[in-house]
Amino acid sequence: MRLVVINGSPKKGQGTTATIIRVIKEMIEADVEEFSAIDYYHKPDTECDSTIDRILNADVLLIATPLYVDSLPMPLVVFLQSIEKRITKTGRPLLKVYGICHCGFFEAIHNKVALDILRNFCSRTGFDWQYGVSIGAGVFFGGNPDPLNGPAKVIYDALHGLCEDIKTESDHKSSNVFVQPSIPRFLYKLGGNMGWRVQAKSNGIAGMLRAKPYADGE
Amino acid sequence: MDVLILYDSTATNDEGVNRLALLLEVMDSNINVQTVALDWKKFKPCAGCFGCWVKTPGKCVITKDEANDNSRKLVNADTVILLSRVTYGGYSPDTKAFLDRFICNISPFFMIKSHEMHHQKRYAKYPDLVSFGFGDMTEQEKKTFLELCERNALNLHSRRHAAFTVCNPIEGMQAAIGLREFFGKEVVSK
Repeated sequence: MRLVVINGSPKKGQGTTATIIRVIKEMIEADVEEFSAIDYYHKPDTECDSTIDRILNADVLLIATPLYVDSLPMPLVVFLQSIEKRITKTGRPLLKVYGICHCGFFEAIHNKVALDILRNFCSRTGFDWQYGVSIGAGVFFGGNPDPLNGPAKVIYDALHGLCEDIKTESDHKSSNVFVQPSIPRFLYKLGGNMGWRVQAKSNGIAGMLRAKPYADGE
Repeated sequence: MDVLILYDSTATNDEGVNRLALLLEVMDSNINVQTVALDWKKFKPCAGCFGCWVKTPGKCVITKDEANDNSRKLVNADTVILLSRVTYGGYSPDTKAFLDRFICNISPFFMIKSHEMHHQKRYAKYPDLVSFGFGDMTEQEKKTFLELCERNALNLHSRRHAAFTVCNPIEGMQAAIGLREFFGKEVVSK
């Protein structure tokens, strides 16, 4: 089984998507190739084709992405279009596809539309969509919490189930899995709001978070 | 009433930009229409840095393209119309390139709205949102697009919103009638 992961996050470095992919790689215990949409989306076809061919030669494709304004980040959409375009030239491989989408909102349901978009992409390309894992309060997971105990365990469990399905080459299509940390929502909201203030203070702009620079008429 | 039409640079006149602007002007002489073409190649992608929330609140830290200018236009419009080629049920890269950079216009602070977590408003008032999805699309993609528009309106604090898919002349007529009704209500209420 050859797994390829597309990282849909435009953020460079160790963001939540990168953490999720690292955990997936550890759980899969096999060589996993990873490509970031941000590295390829703007390049001409001639420079992307060999990368896309490597993706199309995999057995399983996992697309992991943050939620951007209720859907996929722009560079990922462009990269998916490049894959679709390439398929019209090379033919349609039978590629099993899983998706992971995470967001900063507490509830995992915010990611539903983004996962539907990934499923629709599979319908267009003839790929074999399996299911997606939707993660609420993803930033919580990005902080490397204890995988065995504590509030993020439910997320680890969902990712573990996904990896088992990938490893066993399961053909049981399932509904999307929606998970969020097992902490009270008000605590997450409180911590999040406090976090913005702390960051503003360290940037020397405490008290300016509610600025209205474009309020021409107000 | 100020209406801002943001449309894909790939949209041709046949796909409705000029017809839409004309329709709005014919409907009501008090509607001022401004059109802005969006091209993803002219926007830096949102880097997910949250600098627009915690470094330069309300402004994207990327300043070498038109995203901040578009944000100012959008925030001050009464209604924004998005004209986007439906892509897997989502927006096209052209439209999404700007929308990803739009988050400076809402507050980082969380709130609970419709039993879900959302971001608070940055401004007192936001434009109504009308989305037109055009191009070749499956029934499933239509459904996803309409759901996406509804989620956007909720997160962007639009007081009223409407969304239409236009992939044949009948749907085009339905959308025109829908648009007339949308603005008709607004004109009557004023």
